[in-house]
Amino acid sequence: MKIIKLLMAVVVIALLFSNCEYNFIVPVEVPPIDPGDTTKVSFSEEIIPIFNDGNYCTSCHAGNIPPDLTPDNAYAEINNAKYINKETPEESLIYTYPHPDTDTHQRKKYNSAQAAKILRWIEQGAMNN
Amino acid sequence: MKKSILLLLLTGFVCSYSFAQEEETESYPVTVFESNYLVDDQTTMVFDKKTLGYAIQHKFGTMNNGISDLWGIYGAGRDIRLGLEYVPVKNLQLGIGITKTKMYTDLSAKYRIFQQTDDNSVPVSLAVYGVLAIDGRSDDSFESGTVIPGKSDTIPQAISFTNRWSYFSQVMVSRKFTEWLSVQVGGSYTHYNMVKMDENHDLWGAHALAKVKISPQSSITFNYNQPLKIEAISEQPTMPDYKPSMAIGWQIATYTHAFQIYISNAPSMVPQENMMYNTRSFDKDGIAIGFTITRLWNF
Repeated sequence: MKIIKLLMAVVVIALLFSNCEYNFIVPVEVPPIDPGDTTKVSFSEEIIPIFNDGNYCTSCHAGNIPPDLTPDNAYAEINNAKYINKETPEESLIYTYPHPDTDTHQRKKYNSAQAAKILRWIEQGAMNN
Repeated sequence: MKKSILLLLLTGFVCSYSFAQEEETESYPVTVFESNYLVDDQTTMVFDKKTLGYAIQHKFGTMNNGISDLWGIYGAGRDIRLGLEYVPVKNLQLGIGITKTKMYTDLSAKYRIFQQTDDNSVPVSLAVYGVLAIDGRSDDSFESGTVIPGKSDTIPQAISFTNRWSYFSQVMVSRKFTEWLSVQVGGSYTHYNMVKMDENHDLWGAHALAKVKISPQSSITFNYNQPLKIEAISEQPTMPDYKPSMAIGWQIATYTHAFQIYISNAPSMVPQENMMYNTRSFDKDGIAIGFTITRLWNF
């Protein structure tokens, strides 16, 4: 009887672990930023699509759950000290909260390229351009 | 005289045999924990055969905003898990659950190999537990949405169904020391089929739970889960910053219900997520209020 019990335990564990793989997620390539490049990141053309394309953020953040990230409201909603820290851009909540390396936002996160673009936009003054 | 000695020996043998029989029949299993959950962790407890259990687990936001969001209760909901467990044959529990974090679907199995008895002929309860969790997020949640089988590989492949799997297996030993004190210790192994470039696939862990009974139905509970930073199995030059998770709770248990309210720094309710991805400390910024409710039905 004890052997049957042990066998059952081994079978349960073996079934659960029969498909171990060792894959790595390929990160999105972040284009290197040229320090001399003064091209401004466009809020309307580059930041708004991060929030809205495929309802990526706006499936939740469309009015009921702050911040409202719909195109008409996003800038007014995040252009304040709660979400944007112009003194220390990398501490801005709109950058850190869904950052791929933090676990503060569980469901969806920026990818590395999107996070880099948000940071650059804040570093350039977080303008409504 | 010889007959008397023989009679005496026979009587002694029969008596001792009877006592042994009595001891055997009077050996009853001990209920070390009233619920199969202690906060987020599983205990060695398995319900009676043909019992269905339903679990509702909820964790609020962290308490760092203080009264402005009522210590996280009005904050953004941290995590929710709904689970079902069933015992089709004695000592074997099968379960399924869904969790908001990473939209996990988890399948689990627990087998209690033996149970502590009141006469100490079996001094501890021993169980093995395994969880297979499937990450249910869309492909664009995983950076480029592709994987490589090894860091040196250069040809990315689309994410497959099994890439989303992760495993948690645990051996747990528990003992009810006194009427008021029950303790469980365990060891675990966590594996993720797909991780980021700077993360490990494997992680070992140590676990300790305790329950201190303060009234017939109420107990104070403690949980501690420690990821073990073992260099020998690390795939990274710098060991990721695994943080232990802790919980202090209050449990009210009846025969069919258990209600637990607690504070914890564990980010989720899925054990492999808590072991591999806890970045929070047990302090004002990291702890959150949560509760676990279980309900049983016998068929």
